[in-house]
Amino acid sequence: MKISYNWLQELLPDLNSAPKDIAELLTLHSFETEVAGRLAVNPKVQVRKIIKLEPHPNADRLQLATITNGLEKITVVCGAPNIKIGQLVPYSPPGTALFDETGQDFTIKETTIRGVTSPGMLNSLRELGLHPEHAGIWILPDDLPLGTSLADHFPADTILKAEITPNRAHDCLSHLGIAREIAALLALEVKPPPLAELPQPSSSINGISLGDINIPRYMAVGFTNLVAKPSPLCLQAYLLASGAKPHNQLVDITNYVMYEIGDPTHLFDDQTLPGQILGVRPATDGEKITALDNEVYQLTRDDLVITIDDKAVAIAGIKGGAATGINPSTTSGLLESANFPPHAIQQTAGRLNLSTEASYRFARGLDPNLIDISTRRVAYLLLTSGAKITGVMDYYPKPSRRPVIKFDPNQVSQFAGLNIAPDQVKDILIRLRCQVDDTAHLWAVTGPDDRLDLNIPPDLIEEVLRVIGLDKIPSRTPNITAASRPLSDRVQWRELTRDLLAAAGFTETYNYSFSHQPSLDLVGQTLDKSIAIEITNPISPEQKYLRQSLLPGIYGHLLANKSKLGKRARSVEQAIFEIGRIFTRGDEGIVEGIVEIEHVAGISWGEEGQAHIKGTVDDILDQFSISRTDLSRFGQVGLLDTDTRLAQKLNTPVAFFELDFDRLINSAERDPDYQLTTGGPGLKYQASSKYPPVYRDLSIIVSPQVTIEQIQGLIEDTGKDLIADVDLFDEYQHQGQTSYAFHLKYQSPHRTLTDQDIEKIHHKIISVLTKELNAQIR
Amino acid sequence: MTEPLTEKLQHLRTEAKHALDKAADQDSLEPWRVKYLGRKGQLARLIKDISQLDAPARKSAGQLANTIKQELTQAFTARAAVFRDHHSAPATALSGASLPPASSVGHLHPITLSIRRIQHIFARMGFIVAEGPLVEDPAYNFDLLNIPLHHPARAETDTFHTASGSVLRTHTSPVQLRAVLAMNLTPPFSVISPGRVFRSESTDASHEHTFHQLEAFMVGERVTVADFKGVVKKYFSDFFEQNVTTRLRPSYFPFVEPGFEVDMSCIICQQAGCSVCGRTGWLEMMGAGMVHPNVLKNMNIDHTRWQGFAFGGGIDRLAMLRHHIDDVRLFMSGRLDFLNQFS
Repeated sequence: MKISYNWLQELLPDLNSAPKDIAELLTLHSFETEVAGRLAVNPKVQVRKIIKLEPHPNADRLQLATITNGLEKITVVCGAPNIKIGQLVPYSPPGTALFDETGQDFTIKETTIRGVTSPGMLNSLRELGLHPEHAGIWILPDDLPLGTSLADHFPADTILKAEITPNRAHDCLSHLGIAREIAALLALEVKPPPLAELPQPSSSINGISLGDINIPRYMAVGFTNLVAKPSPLCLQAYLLASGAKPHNQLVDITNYVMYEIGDPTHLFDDQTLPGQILGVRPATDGEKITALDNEVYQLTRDDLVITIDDKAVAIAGIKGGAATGINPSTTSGLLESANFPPHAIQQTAGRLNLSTEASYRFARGLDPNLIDISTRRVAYLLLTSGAKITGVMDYYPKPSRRPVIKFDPNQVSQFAGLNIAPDQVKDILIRLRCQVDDTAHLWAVTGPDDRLDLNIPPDLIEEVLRVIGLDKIPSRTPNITAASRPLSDRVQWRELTRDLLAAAGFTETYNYSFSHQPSLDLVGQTLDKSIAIEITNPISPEQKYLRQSLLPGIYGHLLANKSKLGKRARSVEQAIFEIGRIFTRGDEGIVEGIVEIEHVAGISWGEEGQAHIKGTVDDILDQFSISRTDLSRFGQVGLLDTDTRLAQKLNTPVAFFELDFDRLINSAERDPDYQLTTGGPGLKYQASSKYPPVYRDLSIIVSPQVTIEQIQGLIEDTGKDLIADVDLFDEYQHQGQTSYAFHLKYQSPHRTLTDQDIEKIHHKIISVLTKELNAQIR
Repeated sequence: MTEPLTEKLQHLRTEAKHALDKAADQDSLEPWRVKYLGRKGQLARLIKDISQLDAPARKSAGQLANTIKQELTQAFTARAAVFRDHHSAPATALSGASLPPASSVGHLHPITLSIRRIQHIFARMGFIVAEGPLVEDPAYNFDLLNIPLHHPARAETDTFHTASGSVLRTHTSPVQLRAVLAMNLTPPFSVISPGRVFRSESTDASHEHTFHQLEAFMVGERVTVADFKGVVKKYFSDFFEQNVTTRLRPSYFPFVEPGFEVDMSCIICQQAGCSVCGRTGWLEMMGAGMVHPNVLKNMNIDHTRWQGFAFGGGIDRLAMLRHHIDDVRLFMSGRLDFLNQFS
């Protein structure tokens, strides 16, 4: 939520803290808050009056506006459709810095537009950096002194942004709520906004029909003598600071009160209402309404509508209807100030993809008693503008009361591990506007009406601790008594198996729990749909089911690395394993209908892959003291189908195994004995270069005393960080000499290497090898 | 008379360890491994002989053999790591020593290693490890954790649903209930549960839909916020091998009250301000709080007698900070040039 620092200062006259101090105060005691920026008008922008309008001679959509500052007049070109003679508007002379659609500032110059010179321009809110609105010129209230700098009447403000947690949405989505919070933390006084006194509810206003919908409260007030003109600038400034667009003083006042008090209200144009009887009912399936944004919404019976004579005039708690909204000729209105069931509002806003400031507040729950304050506040502001009240209706069958909490103040110290005296507890609760009856050993504490989150003793403990400051609680060194048996058999077996596989040359991978159709296709597996668990909102259509085997994922990972693996035929190119769960439907699991089984699986790719797999699986069975002849009870080993792998251009065999790890554990003939480790050193990840590698071959002949390490070492030292790999792929003896052939991988971490770069370094390497090792290059 | 099998095993262990200590470089490791730990190696041959023994002797010899096997395997892995540490280039960069051995040592996943590290730290503080299902009953993922159907916190979670009405667990908190109820735990107890969790989110460098969390909860007669602070401080300091400061801020989760967020001093810039900590000097590490009485009730624990804390934090995040990994998607990528770098 955006917070205006100026507005806070108005509500807290004794506030001395700077914006960044407020941000830190709230972050450490209430919720995360930061300073978001400034809201200010460039001092060069002036207030001017439009005295003449004529069409641009050479452009249909443009006008020439003659503006005056009271002394002299100039004519500017303007493309906005909403300007009229007599309006006060913002004018920027050449040299003023304004903002474009990306938020970048630009300086306006005197320009010629279609043959007419324009010395400056009239401005929209966006150009002044005040709001994204750019559909028209910002029309100013008519009481501003002509020819003055607009900044004189629009004080610069600092905007804070607070992440209000759901438990404080009831009271802190408003400046009054934030002010009260700061007041409690800093022991300040809040200056409450003035409220009007309302006449008694009368029958001169519409009755309400609700059926059996649960509406906690519905208040309506009738007004006449309304004028839909621009709001006073100070009110507009606060709306802009909250991120809202000003419209006219009637709509603005309801929005202003929402940002001030936290309770949304809605003003209907009385004369456009199709009748007398107010109602709230579920919409009918397919019922349509055009809302104030001029969009047509199709409703269902799960959505609530406000009705007049049963005709829908608003989407309850979310947005008013276009037909009954305030318009420039509105003179009388009906103010709705109500409280709606949070879940219904949440669901409708979600389904219609229409989340508004009002719906956001209702969806989190508001105190119905707040309606009293917000209605009287709107009334005060409207009355100040010259309006009159015609009648009041208040449907409030069951006034809401906060529960009385039986509270032992010593529990605070008990929870905290820090001694906090009952006096201090009481003081804090009172600062938070709680009523505290401490006459008995067990206190009776009632929170203020708007604190819907204070219901049980831990809620009060949280209040006391956060006001004191969580940093005041010391840190108690934990009592180091090691658990005698911290790891279950399963965890131990898993870690032992991991170590076994790593020692056998397998690298561990992790795959998603979703099956992946393309990977299934790669290994020629299919899911058993009759027992597959389907995700109704999958991350992609190919990942719609939970996996039933680990192999497709492991194989997919192997293929993903294909290009990076060595080019020579090794006995085992690469071996990968995974230990993880597979999922099927069934009755034997912990959760109804779901069976999760842990599997261990691996792939070994290379000439000796099959032997590698067989040997490793034997080792695994041995580890559990299970007989090797029992393999088929636990899973399978095999070779990936030749045609399948040749299709992926893998010329050497791919062997695999997959075992039911749960069954292995349950069949173990001995106990596991895994010793906890610290998980190895904190090796730092080095990202491989994103620039393309270039491969060059190098074949040399050397005398038999020369070792491969020597050759490699010289290549590395010469090539430095441009050599990414040296891969021996051939070796043979001939006439007393040894011939070696290498693939050299050139790659820079910083740039794409050019042919020249590579030629240069390749030659350098050759010359070093020739010189140092007497090598002959082939 | 030939010496008993157990003695042969002990001798082999000593001999193997000596030989390993004498291994001069990475290239000597493979022959050692083949000789002692290979399928036709000396240990394997002795293990085969175990089946000749009678039942009681078989059990103890088998246990000894496996202890030795594990010891030697771990020693081997450690030694290989030492050689790699001394290697100036990244682990994967250079291959092609002498013509290829059957296999070189494989590598464990950095999340596996982080979880091992975490288990080690917490076991020393008296915590046991519990696990739970990945596909959960909504009651355990939400309702019994005090998140009823109409709660805004529930609407804000991006949950994967199954056609049968289950959910993929969005946090490890359900294991609090599962562990207590399945293991019949009564207070006082201290439990951690690391594991996979799911959120339906689009992935980017800091977001994954499948990631890992650590749940920890400790309940006793007087388990306090001060105890929580102590445990967390030890956790982070041990994990990162540095003295770190932590900061608690008020926050909100339905299953704890009071609720906190825990920040840790940025270990990348030592709080000077950097891109990792968003120039604030603090890293957000976990949500936490005192277990809500409704949750204790759902565990059949008397909340008037017992109290405690719980926290949930990301493990991927911890691993990223420890190993300077800048993209969370690497963990599930299967890229060997990544996976090969951590052990």
